[in-house]
Amino acid sequence: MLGLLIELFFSFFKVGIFGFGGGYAMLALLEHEIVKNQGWMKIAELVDVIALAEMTPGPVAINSATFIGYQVAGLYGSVIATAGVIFPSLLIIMPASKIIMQHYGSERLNNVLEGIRPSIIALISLAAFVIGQSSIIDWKSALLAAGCLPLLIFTRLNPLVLIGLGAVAGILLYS
Amino acid sequence: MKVIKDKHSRKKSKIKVEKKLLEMFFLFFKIGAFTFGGGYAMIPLIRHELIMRKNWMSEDEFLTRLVIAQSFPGPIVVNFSLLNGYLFRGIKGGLFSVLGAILPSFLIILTIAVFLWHYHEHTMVQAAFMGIRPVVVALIVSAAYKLGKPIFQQRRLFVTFLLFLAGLILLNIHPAFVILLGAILGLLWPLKAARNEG
Repeated sequence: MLGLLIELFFSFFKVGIFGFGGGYAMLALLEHEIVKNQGWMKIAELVDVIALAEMTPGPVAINSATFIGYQVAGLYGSVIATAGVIFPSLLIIMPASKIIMQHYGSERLNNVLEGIRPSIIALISLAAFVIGQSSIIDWKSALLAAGCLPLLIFTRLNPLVLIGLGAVAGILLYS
Repeated sequence: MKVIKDKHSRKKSKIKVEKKLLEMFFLFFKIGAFTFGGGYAMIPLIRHELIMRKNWMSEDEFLTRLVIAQSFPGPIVVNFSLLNGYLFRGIKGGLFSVLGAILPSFLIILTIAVFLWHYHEHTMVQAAFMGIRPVVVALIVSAAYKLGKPIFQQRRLFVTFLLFLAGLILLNIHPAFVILLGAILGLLWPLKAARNEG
């Protein structure tokens, strides 16, 4: 049990410390650690967890850490996994906050941040690719995704509405 | 300067510390409880709470701290609450704020995991999720498109992006490696220098 908790902590620590660029960029890391490396979940399950994280308040990374932690190792697991995700922030932000406030806007920091922008987009695209492979299984699901995309890009429709409509469509089409 | 100023005000109002810590906790709890859909959705709520209602910081400070929170790894809400809590009231302030920010998510998700998730196997729920999954894919693609737009317009960044994506998909390289590589590339060969050369 202790070994499992330590593994959980470090898996989510990795997700936290390389988690630049917000929740969607973290999904690729999450998939790599949880599905590929550790085999704690199947990809379809992970997609459902991500959907759940979208439907509930709070950061996607925290929501998925809590959920996956619980699935893997119960209540302790959920606490440890959540702690793992926020630990890098604790380590970096608080001790360095004075230096951060001083060096904020420095050229070097800007260059690094500029440099990782293509990485972040590549990670989000990877997440879309991997999750797409397991989620778009027939023409019905392909149509659903294709129909949602322009609505998300060109309108300010709340994604929660689309998730709700997706659920209704799923019940009508698949049961 | 800002940091020093915050420190002084901390010494002055020591009697109020306990109350203030709880106040910070509940403020970030509220922010954590009402932000659907990730960090960017929370910005209007935070502005309203921190600047309009509490008057805890100026608009400029708010923007600076927000950009810092976005620049560092980890969830934006976590970074933002830590940074502000720490600047207001030191380590205790940081811990109280971040606990407030993540506790709503933690409790809600735990409740679902413990009491509701066994319905997940139900045929009807499975059908619903089969409809939800393509929506999630569309959400992620739209995020890539929106965030990537400025990058797709600059040739060097676009080529870097394509190479990274090919490496991730075809060679199965670790996502963290792509972040490190991007950082090194940005440091050694900044975009500005490249612009001047070209």
